[in-house]
Amino acid sequence: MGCFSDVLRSAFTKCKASELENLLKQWGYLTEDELLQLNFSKSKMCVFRDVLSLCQEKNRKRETTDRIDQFDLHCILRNSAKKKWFIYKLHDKKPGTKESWQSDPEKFKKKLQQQVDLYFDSTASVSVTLQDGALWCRLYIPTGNHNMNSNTVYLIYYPHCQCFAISAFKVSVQNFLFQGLSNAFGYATLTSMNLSGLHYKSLFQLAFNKLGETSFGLTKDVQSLPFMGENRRKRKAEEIEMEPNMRSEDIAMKRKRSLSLETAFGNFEQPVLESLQFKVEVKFMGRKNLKNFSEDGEPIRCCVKFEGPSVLEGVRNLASCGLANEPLPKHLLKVNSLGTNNFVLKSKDKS
Amino acid sequence: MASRRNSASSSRGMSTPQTSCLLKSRLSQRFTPRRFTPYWRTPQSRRVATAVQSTKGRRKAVPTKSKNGSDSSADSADLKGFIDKTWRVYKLSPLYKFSTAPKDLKRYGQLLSSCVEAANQKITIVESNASGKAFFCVQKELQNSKDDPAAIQILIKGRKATANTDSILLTATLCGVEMEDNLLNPEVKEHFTYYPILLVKSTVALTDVLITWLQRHFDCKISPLIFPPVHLAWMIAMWSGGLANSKRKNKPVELVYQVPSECEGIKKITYSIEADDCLRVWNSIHDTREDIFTEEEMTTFIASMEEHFYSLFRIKLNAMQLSCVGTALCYIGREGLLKIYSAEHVICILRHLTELSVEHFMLNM
Repeated sequence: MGCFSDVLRSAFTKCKASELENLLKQWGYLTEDELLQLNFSKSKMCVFRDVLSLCQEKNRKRETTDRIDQFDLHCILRNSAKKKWFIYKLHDKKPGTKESWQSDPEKFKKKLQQQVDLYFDSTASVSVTLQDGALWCRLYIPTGNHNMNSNTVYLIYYPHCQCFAISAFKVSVQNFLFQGLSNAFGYATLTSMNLSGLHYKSLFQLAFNKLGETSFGLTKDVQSLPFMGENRRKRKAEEIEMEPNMRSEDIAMKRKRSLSLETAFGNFEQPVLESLQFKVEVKFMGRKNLKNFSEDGEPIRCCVKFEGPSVLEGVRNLASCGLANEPLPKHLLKVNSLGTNNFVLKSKDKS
Repeated sequence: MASRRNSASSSRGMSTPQTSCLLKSRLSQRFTPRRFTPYWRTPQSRRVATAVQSTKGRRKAVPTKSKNGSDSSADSADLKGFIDKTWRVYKLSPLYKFSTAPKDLKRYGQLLSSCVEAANQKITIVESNASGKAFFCVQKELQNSKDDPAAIQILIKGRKATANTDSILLTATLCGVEMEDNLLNPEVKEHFTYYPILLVKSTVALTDVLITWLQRHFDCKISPLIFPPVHLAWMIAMWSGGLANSKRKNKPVELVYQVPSECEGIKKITYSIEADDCLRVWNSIHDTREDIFTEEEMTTFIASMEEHFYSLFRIKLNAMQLSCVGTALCYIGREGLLKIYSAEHVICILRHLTELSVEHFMLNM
């Protein structure tokens, strides 16, 4: 009984107190009478203790454990931005792989459970649910460390896609986990796309732009993107357009800049990325004021990291605020279509 | 003129009325008895006033080696308690009737302990410790010259609600390292002790308790030592080659720029350069045989780094503010955060912080 109390406690800490009532109703494991017994005006931990005692009273350990795993998955689904997601690409589809299971959560769960049982302990468990066209999976892989959070891995997979998103996992389970996943998906190998962040829809959109599974490269041509959903908004109008009575001295320059940014970035808000990292190894280009700098050809190694709530939008705004000069370099403009947020820039080898 | 100056300095909140005349003001000689007449010739250029006195146009020498010739390598074992901890740096005005005699230090410990106990009972400290016992002791390893006051270490030990054993809840050090001369006037030297810096490692609540107690007991003013971007740039120039001759791999030199809030989406840009490459650039600017760095060298160094960044990304770093800098020796944040990595350079770093604190205090007099 101790095990599913840890899972339930962890699930409760992930969600907000205001969401608890809806989540428990959606969960469907507690009857209406049992839900009426709960007092949601109390603290989260009080509600947790009441829910735990109701689950223990049912006296059905196996079923309760499965249902609580499902509840934890629903909490993650509702608060997906609390996890950092990493995108992996699937390579080399195995011949004869059936795809009928991909839209059925129960079939997918069975397939995944078979692989998990093959490589891991019998106490490993799998939960799957379908939400907004994506399969959400929860894998519990126990290791020597009994910390439940570090033993739990979450996965998001859009059926028939060549990539998936996974939360952080232990290095010790990586080999077996990847083997099991590639068998379950029907592919030979999987590799990291060096693309990670908190907003999974944006990550999938960027991955798809790279994999070419959409018919557009620039986000400007799109009215609604499949992953960004219906909530995708057009950018706010520039200040000079919002206020017709406002006069600006360099209005021509501002309009020209606005047009070129629209050409480069499009009309719509950019996908959400929290960080963008460049590892650079090029010749030193700041030697204008340096008389004694030796030109031995050795590159300068540096690392640049942009961080913020939406870095791609921020890069666009740097130019519009005048903190960056146009045209911006290609490695900043093409992030949308390159499918990664970790880049390596090196000088071209002349030999 | 003198009375107007005194009221102005006390109204800034940096010094108490007792301390307003204590320190010898370096600015006192600049004021002339000329009558205020606003009708001057129109200047050919205007200079925008800055919060920190600008050193533009003047050569500012910053020594790198210790005055007594040692690089503190012999004492590095004693100073290991300062490394790999995140300190908050504060500046202080002189402490009234502060004594370093053992019996007085013991009494201070008892008084601070009762203050911590009282704060516990008011539930102002979140950890709800059962006991918070304070200890004051002298730290001799930080006293590098005869003008330095005896450094004092303050420890508060207690037991957290969830723990079974006592642990150190607060570590603080009052010190001034290699102060240029005794800044207190001879007639008040007996009653006041000047510590330019206070380093604290603890929770916010417990730090507030300590600071409030020190301010009340010794009639002083304690405030965070803020490092404006120009000071951070100096530190980068001084310390980026600090461990260059050692065999170990050095941490990269890190500059963190804060993006202005009108540019939504990006909060900060972190620019890290490998220590060896940074040193290569620095050696092409600075003559390695010289012990002192100049302001021109510092600005050239930073400008060349920003120019390299601009050539890669076409982003103007010089339009943004430096908020944190990191070198192999230490990591410093604008809001007074400090983390020292090298025990051999603790004295060097604290000496520089002492100098900054004294300069800041002099400017506010």
